[in-house]
Amino acid sequence: MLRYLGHRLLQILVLLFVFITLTYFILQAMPGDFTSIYASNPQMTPEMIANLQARFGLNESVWVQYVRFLRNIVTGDLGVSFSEYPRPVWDIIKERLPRTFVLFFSANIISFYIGFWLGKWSAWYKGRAADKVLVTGSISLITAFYPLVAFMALWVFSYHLGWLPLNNFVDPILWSNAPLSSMQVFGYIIYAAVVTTALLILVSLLLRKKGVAGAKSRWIPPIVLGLALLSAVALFQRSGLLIYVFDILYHLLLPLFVLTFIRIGSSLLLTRDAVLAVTQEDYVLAARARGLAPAVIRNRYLARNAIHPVVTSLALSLGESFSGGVVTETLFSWPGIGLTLLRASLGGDYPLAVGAFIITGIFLLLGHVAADIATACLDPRLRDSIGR
Amino acid sequence: MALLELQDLSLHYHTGRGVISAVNQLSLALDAGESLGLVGESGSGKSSIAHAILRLLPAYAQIRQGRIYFAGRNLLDLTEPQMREVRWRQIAMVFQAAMNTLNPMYTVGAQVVETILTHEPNMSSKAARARVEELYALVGLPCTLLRRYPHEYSGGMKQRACIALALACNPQLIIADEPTTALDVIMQARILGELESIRKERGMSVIYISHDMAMMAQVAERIGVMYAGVLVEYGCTIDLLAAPAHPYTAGLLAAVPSMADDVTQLQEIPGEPVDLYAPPAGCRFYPRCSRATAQCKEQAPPLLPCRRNRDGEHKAACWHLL
Repeated sequence: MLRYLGHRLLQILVLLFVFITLTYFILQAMPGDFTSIYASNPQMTPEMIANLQARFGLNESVWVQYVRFLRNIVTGDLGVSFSEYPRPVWDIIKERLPRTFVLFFSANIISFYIGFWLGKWSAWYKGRAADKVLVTGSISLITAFYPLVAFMALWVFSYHLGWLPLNNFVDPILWSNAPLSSMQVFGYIIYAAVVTTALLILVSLLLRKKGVAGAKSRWIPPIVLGLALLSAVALFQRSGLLIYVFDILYHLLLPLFVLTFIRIGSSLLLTRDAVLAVTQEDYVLAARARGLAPAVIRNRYLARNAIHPVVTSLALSLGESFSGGVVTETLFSWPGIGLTLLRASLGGDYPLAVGAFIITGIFLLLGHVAADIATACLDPRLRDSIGR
Repeated sequence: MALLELQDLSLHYHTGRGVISAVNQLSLALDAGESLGLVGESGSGKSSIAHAILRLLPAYAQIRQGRIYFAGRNLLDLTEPQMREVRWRQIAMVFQAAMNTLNPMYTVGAQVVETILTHEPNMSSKAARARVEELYALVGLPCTLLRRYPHEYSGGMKQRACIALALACNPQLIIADEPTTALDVIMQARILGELESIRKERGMSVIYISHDMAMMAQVAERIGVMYAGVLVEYGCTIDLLAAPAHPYTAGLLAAVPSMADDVTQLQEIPGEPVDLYAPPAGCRFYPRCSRATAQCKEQAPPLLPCRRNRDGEHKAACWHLL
């Protein structure tokens, strides 16, 4: 297992190097450099521009610049943003990345959970009215023009009904005299979510290891989840942060809902197809012959064996969730990494654009490894092949 | 009273091309403790009968008529929950492709325990595990294999595990559908021998389904020969092998190599298998039969006792018995 992981990480490093090099040379291939913006400015003399170029080392050869660029990246120095000068690029990414990640991660997890569940039932009732409705709905969701769906949601829920905020990450008036910055409060929210999830995983693992089965243990994870959420609310209430926490969650709600909704379709169809393929297997017929209950066949035979492609797809989309959707973040004015990337690219803020590209690239590659590990852990046949 | 009795069973498959008559007006009885062999080439309806008994037929199959009595109850009248209790508790099955009949995601032991606990929910999982260990000992597998996954088993080990699984709930009847087809000859003989001794010891009934006449001669007390969904001959193994009454049975036997005879060439049955979309109106075997007459073409022969008959059990469906 360790050897396998080491092997995969080495592969990632090589890929990352290729990725960084490509990114660098594509940017280099663009005509001019960032000083070209000033070329038409009558107040900038050619000497000043040359001075600027010398300061940033732009007058040296491409290779010298490339080596310097590589060295900076390896030492973790992503440079300074032009558009938010003199803020370091890493500082900006650190602020924006969690926003994107939370939005897309939650949307992916929720949509895959719902899609898997619905897909399982859709396959089980193949050909019946419910199945037809679900399949038609999924195909509509996949083919729907996403920006239009987002605009309609904004129009209905924010403009027409006025239930949810139109845009942005927080309400600036509310936060004008907040004790902490939105980034810190958001950090606490993530922290609470991570602790709760870890607790849930731990409890389920313990229950499984102890072999506690039956109706009683079914209620333990939901109770643990409820208690963890209650204590988090209590903690935030005591520290006076609760309204700010709610404000962030309130702003998160609409993009999260739209993203989740639009992604249910593909995970549903993926699950349905996978389950239908498993239905043909001999062991499903054999399970029916053994008189096993329909729920057991549905969950332990069909869904369990169909989980493979679904988990791979989920892990890959989790990797992609770091890059965010430029479209989503633009539509909802969600100040995440996608919007940052778009603005940096359009505004000629190369250090920020490159930094954002590299960071999202790293997470995308890690997502692929996560997909491999997840599928290997889920399938005893693969578990063996990487165990040795 | 017979343990299992099929009465006048007719079974059709509705496919895109039309309707297949897979089993036609078949009647058959099996006593408790008896072993019956169903022989026939592929497509003769053997497996369809097995699936019909357990009511595992796909949605496009239709039982147009007939009854399947098991221990006095017509299985075709049972509701699905009632049928689930019959499955494995009373009738178990060893499947044709043992390789693929176990769930690859769970250990084999877990699957046997799961089956036992489904049918005996009051049993403790410890007791269930103890029983599985006994079963493994019975079929000659080490208990350490229980904690292994199906892909870690060899073909022979899987087949034995499937037999252990079939015995898990102490059924009255086991249907063994081509139980050893995927195995080499030595392994075949050993596993069949073990299954037979377990059957005799426990007083179970077994229906063997195979295309292999030589294997049937080894294990079955009675043999039913099927051709194109019709039972063409039925009788004691000894009688049937010694003096086949139906031309098809005779043809099948002539196609089996024998150590005793000095045959240099095996005979094959001429012609093609029947088109089940449009089976002949009369005897389904007549297009391939050397003794066919006009009567064979028009009238389907009933299954009647033959002349040379020790106990009145040897029956065949032919107008021109051998």
